[in-house]
Amino acid sequence: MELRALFPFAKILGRRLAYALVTIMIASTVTFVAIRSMPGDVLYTLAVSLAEELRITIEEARKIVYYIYYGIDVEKPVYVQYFEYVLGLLRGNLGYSTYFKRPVTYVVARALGWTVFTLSIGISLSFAIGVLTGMVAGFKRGSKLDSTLSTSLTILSAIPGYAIALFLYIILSARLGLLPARGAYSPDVEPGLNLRFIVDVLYHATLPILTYVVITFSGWSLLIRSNVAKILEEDFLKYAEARGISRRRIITTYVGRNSILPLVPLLALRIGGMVGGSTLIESIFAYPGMGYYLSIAMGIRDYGLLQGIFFMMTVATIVGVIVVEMVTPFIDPRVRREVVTT
Amino acid sequence: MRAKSGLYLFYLDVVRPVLKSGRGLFGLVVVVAMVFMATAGPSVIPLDIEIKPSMRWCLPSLEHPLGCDYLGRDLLSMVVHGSREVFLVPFIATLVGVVGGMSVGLLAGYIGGRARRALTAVTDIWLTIPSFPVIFILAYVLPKSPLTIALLLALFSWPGLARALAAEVSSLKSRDFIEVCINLRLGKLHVLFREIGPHLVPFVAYNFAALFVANMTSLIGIVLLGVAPLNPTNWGYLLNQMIFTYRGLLIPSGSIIIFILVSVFVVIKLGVVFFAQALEEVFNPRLRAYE
Repeated sequence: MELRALFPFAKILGRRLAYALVTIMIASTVTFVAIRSMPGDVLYTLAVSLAEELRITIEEARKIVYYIYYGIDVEKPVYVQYFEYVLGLLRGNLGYSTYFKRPVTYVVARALGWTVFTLSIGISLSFAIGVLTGMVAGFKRGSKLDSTLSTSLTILSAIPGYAIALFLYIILSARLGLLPARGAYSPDVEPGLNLRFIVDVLYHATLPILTYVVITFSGWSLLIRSNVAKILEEDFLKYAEARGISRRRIITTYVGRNSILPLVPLLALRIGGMVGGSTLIESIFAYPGMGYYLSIAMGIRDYGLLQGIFFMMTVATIVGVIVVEMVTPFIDPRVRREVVTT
Repeated sequence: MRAKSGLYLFYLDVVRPVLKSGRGLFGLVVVVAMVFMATAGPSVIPLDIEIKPSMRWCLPSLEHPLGCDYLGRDLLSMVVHGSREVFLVPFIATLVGVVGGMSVGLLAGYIGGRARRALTAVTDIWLTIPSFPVIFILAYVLPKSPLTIALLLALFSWPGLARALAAEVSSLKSRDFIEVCINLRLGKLHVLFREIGPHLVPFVAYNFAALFVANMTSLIGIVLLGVAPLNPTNWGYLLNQMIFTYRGLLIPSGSIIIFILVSVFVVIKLGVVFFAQALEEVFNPRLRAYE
C-alpha cells in the first residue's frame, strides 16, 4: 500500500530527472560555446600573466589556462573536450574566476543563497497576492471593483520588470531614502545569527522582493480571475449551493482549489523565467545574488565566473521546478490518479 | 461593387468594434504611430548628434518635446531613429518564433500519441531553461549583428505558443465537425489547414503581439545591460548610458528624462497589447467585457 502510494511521486521524479539531464546538457553546451569562442585578447592576457608567473611559454600557458581554469583539454578532439567538460561540471568543477582569483564554487556559494532567499519569498508572496486579488475580482465579476482591478493589473503587467525596478529604486531609495539599494546587508553589521543582522538582511532584501512581487503578481491575478469566472458557471457549483454547503467552503474548496490548481504547473514553468529575470533586477539593485555576478562576469569578461554562475542558475531552476512538480500530486488528486493509470 | 461591400463588412466587423472600445482605439493609434516612426520617421525628424553641454537633461519644451539626453541631444530624434531597430529585431524574432511554435504545436496536437509526448517533452524542457541569461551570454559571445540577436530571441519565442496550440488543436480535433471531415476522407493537410487552422488565427495573432512586446522588452533589457551594443540610438543603449554612465537617476532632471523614455516604451507595449486584445475580442465575441 505504501509503495503504491509512492509510485506517482517516483514516476514524476523520474521524468523530471530525465528532463533535468537534458536541460543541463543544453546549459553546458551554451557555456562550452561561450568559453570556446572566448575572444583571443582575453585568453592572451590570461596566458601572459600565467606564463610570467610560472616561467613557461605563452603557448603552454594558453593550454593550462583552458585546462585549469575551465576544465577543457584543447589537445583532445572537440567532442571529447565537450564530454569531459560536461562531466567536470556535473562533478562540481565550475571553473576558476580570474577576477576573484578563487574557484567559482566559492563565489557561487555566496551568491546562490541570496538569490534563492529573495526569489522564493518573492514568488510565494506574488502567488499569494495574485490568488487573493484574482479571487476578489473573479467573484465580483462585472462590478466596478473588478473592472478597475483588471484594467490596472493589465497596465501593470505591461510595464517591463526593469522599469518597475528602476521606478521603485528612484522613489523608495533615491528620493525617499526609505530602503537601501546596495548589497545584502550593511558593512558595519556582524554576519551571524543575531537579531541586528537578520533585521538588516530583511531590510536590504525588501526592495528586490517587492520588485519581484510587483512584477509578477498581476499575471497570476488575471489568470485566477478568468479561472474563477469559468468555475462559477459550472454545474457542480450550483449543485453544491443547492446542497446547502457553506459559502466559506464553496469559496475555499470548490472555487479556490479548482482555480488555483491549473496554475501550479504554470508556476513550475515560470520559475526559469524568474531566475533569469533576476539578472536585471539584481544588477539594478547591486544585490549580490547570482544575477548580479552574472552581469559582473560579463562586464569584466570573466568566463569562468560566467559559466559557473549560469550553470548554477540552471540547476537552481531545475530544483525549483522539481519541488513544485512534486507538490502537485499532494494537492491535486486528479494528478495522482492520472499518473497511476498512465 | 463587391470589393466595396467587402470593405464595408470589414469596417463593420473589425474596424468599428476596435474603434468603439477605448483600449482598441488607443492601441490602433499606437500601432499606426509605430509604423510611421520606423518607416518615415527618420527622414521627417533629422538625427540630432550635436553635443550641447548647456542642454544636458533639459526638460520637455516645444523645441524638444521629450526633453534632451545626457549630451544635450534631442531625445525625440534619438527615439525615432532608434525605433527601427527596436521594432524590427523583435519583429523578426517573433515571426521566426511563431512559425516555429505553430509547426511544433500543430504537429504535436494533430499527430497525438508518442510523437506528441516527445514534442511536449522538448517544449517543457525548453521552457525551464532560464532564457534571459542564455540570450544574454550568447548575445555576448556570438558575432554582434541585429540578425543574431533576433534569432536568439526567436530561440525562446516558440515553446509557450507550441504548448498552447497543441492543447487547442487536440481539443478542436475531438469536435464533431472535424470528425465529419475525417469521415469524409478529406486529406489530413486539408483538415489541419482549412478546417482547424482558421479557428486558431485569433489565438496566434494575439500571441504574436504578446511575444513581440516580450521580445522588445528582452532586447532592450539585453542592450540595457550593455551586452550587445547594436545601434547607438537603441533605446536600451540610451537607457544604459543614462543610468550607468551618466548616473541620471541621481539627478532630478535626469530621473525625469529616464522616466519619459521608459514611459514611451510602456505606452508602446500597452498599445500593442490593447490592439491585440481588441482584435481578439473582434474574432472571439465571448471575450468581450461585460458592459
